[in-house]
Amino acid sequence: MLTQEVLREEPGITQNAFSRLLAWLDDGVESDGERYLEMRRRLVGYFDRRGRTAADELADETLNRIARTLVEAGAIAVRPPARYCYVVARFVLLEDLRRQRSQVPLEESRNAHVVRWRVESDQGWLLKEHRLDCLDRCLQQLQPSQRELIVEYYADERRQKIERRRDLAKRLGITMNALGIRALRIRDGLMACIGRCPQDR
Amino acid sequence: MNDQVLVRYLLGLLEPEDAERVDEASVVDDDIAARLRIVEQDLVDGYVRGTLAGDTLARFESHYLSSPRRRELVTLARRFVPAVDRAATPPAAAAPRRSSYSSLLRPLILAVAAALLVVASGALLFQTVRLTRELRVAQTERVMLDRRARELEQQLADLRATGTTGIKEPERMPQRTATATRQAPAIALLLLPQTRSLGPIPTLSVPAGAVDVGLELRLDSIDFPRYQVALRDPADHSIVWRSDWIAPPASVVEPSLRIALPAGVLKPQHYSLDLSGQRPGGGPEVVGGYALEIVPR
Repeated sequence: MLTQEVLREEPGITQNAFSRLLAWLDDGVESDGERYLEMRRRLVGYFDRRGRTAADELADETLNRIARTLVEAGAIAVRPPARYCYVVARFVLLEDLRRQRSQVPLEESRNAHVVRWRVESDQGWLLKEHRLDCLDRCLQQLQPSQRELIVEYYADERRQKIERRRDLAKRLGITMNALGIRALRIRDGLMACIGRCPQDR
Repeated sequence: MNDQVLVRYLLGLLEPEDAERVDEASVVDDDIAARLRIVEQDLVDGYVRGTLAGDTLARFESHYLSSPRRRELVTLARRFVPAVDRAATPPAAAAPRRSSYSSLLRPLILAVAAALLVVASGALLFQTVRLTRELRVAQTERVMLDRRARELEQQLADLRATGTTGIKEPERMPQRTATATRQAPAIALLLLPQTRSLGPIPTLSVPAGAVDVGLELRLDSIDFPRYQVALRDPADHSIVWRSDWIAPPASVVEPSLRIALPAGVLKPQHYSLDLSGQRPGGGPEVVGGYALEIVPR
């Protein structure tokens, strides 16, 4: 049954299916979509570490299949939801590997004689310049406590990184793992802020 | 599953069955998923700070950096890490002032403390501005390197136009040697030593008709009378091509080495280039490494 469910390939999902997917991933604890984003990030990482160049697309394909299953079957018995996500992701990975094997290597079909070094376009450079411009702005947008935390957490690692982090976790009354996650979230927010900057133009 | 296992997983050093267990845990187990991210970020930051060494560094460059998504993480870390390090450095100018006021009355000390806070805030702002400026310099340097590569490309195109090329198509073979300076190759690409690279690994698309790929390897300094370059396949660490021993150019503005790499040995994948130097009567010494990614057109 599972095999039949996950081997289908259909484009996109409806709003209803997406809502069902969000609720299912939340597993009874409302997360405002955080759980979906976290699962998608994990799946992208999984496909990427497995050497798939289209990791984002494969992660979306995995979640889309689950959403369609939720709509069509009404429920998914496998728990926790993350385990089912992994099962489906493995099928998606295997399919992608099969697809790759069936494709003719690109270099064999090429006949062009003009060669060139692939450099970033001027537009790409402008975009990067603008991102650098906004780094300062994004740093200033952090709350002072957040800025202090990431500075202390990520500062030059040659200076007793582990001890410093342990002290910081103790001061904040949280575990080292919780501290690491908190630091990563602040860092993610900073990078997301930088990523949004070009759209300001 | 300790952090060292996770590092080995990220570097592709685990046995397949162990890697699959971590694969599953990275999706299913909240604790492992979080720790994997933390370990990965520390690994990337360590690379950016230049604290990775030995096999870890080699595997990071040959395996971890083979993915565009992971190279993007390194690029982001290159912006983030200097910002954090500079923000963590206290302003040196503020320290002496405090002692000169320490013997005064309490209200005055408080006022001085407030003033120091203002100074510290100003210093933080200054650090941020300085960081931004340094990042601009780094970007400018990259632009200049790109321009240099384009100039080289143009020079080679000119050489081709004047009929100085015409090298016989090389046969594909697993390992071969070649004279580095034979004739003008078809493609020019400037590579920086990996520890000094400012951005993603350079990519190169090579069409079926290409004969040679010209590479200019930038050196920190010329310390040996002759050098040899080996092209390595990171998948199995095998050497797929090795240059002859090459003498570096006698007078150059920036020390570098030029080689002509046979296009026939290149496939769309990640490669590393090992640079060795040799002194008279001495054995070969590893000088540095370069990375290169061949991509389909």
